[in-house]
Amino acid sequence: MSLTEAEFVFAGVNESGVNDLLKAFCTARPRFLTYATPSMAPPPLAFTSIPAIAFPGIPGGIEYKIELTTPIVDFDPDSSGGAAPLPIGAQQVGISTTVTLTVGCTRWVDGQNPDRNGSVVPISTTLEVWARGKMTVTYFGPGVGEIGFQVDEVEIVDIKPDTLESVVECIVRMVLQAFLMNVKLPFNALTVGAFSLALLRGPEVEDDQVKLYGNV
Amino acid sequence: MPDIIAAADETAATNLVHAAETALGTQSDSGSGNLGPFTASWGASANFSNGMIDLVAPNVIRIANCQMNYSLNFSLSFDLSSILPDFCLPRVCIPIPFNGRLCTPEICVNWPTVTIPVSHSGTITFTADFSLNIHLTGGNWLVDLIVVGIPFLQFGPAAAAILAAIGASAALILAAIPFIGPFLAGAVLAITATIGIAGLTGFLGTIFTPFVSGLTFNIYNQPQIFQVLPSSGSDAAVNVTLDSITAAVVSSDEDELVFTAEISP
Repeated sequence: MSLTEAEFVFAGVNESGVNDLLKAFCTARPRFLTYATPSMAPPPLAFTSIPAIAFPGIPGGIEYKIELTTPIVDFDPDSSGGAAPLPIGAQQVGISTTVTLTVGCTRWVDGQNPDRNGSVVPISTTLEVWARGKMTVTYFGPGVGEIGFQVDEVEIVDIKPDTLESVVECIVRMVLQAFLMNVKLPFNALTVGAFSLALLRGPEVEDDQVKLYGNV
Repeated sequence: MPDIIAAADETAATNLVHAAETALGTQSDSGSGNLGPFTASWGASANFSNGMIDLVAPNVIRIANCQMNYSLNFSLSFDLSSILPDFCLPRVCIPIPFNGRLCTPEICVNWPTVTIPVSHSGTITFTADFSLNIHLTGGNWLVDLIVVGIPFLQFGPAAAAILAAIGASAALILAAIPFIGPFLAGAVLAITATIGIAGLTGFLGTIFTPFVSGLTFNIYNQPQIFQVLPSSGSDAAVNVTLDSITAAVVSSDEDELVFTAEISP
């Protein structure tokens, strides 16, 4: 079977290629991996500044930080050998990463230990995150377009009770989707500049690749 | 499996060639020179049209029935004054009784410059075979097409007639050279006749192939440090390294030109 099938040009990126592109993106722009209130991640660490969560009675609000590691993508078929708690199906993409949540644990009044008044102690937890979603495409015209990621579900194992797991998974899904909204892979990179792709079909996810079909 | 695969079938490759022909447009050049009393000037322009891509595994890209539409003009000037002396009819005066004399003016003859213009427009139809050469040079990945042969090249009857006329004229001049002149004239006639017949029948490409084999045309040129995303505001550009590039003609249920790339962050 030809690569172009019924169309005229084909661009396919293997999951290892997409992972290289993701690593290049996160290396060049590390601020997209770290989101922190100013006191939680002081410069020179590259981070995206976010405001503290306002809460009545907490001076300055709740300080926190969310850190992701560079996601690893797995295209259909599943390459995890059954290890993924959220197996991927046809046309799906699996995304695994770790998310570290840090909260600035503030004690502004400690009657038993006045030395701790006003102290901020960061406490963290690191979660193994498995996500499942699909590839998206935004097409602007011949040769100009980009593919992106849509996260449909997130699975974090070993959190009890289940309702807490659901809450955390929802938060992590929103954070992961927000991060991936910034990761757009342009057509020019998918064809390494060999030609301009006028999209007719795709993205299709199969054979460990994301595939685009079109004309020139 | 390579990190990135890009493929184009023969239809897409043909479209790419037509786009390249349009982008190339009409190329023109001109020049002139002097040799003694002769002055020659010439001009030529050409553009390419049509042509179909035929991909032949594992490594041949054939452009079939491509047309080169050309226009030639050639002008040869010869200053007759350089070989013929200019002369003047002297002033002649006739005495007229009671009224002085009547004189004619001096009349000088300057020999003119004779110009012979030749112009011709026509079409050369050719089929050319290319192979692929991929190399990393100066930090850039290049894919070149190398001419390996011209199986077919044909021009029109008018071009053949002009070629024959040029050959006959040259032979006429060469024949006047003592001793070797007739042999040179015969050789020129034979060569021009061979080219003319080969050009009419389409076999001229076979004659030209040894002279054009190895000529290269670049079709892909990308820096090894390939920019995925440009810098934007405070965000740095995102680059990957193209560790290797391959290009080959792959045949399955159709023939395709396939590029592959291995990248690293």
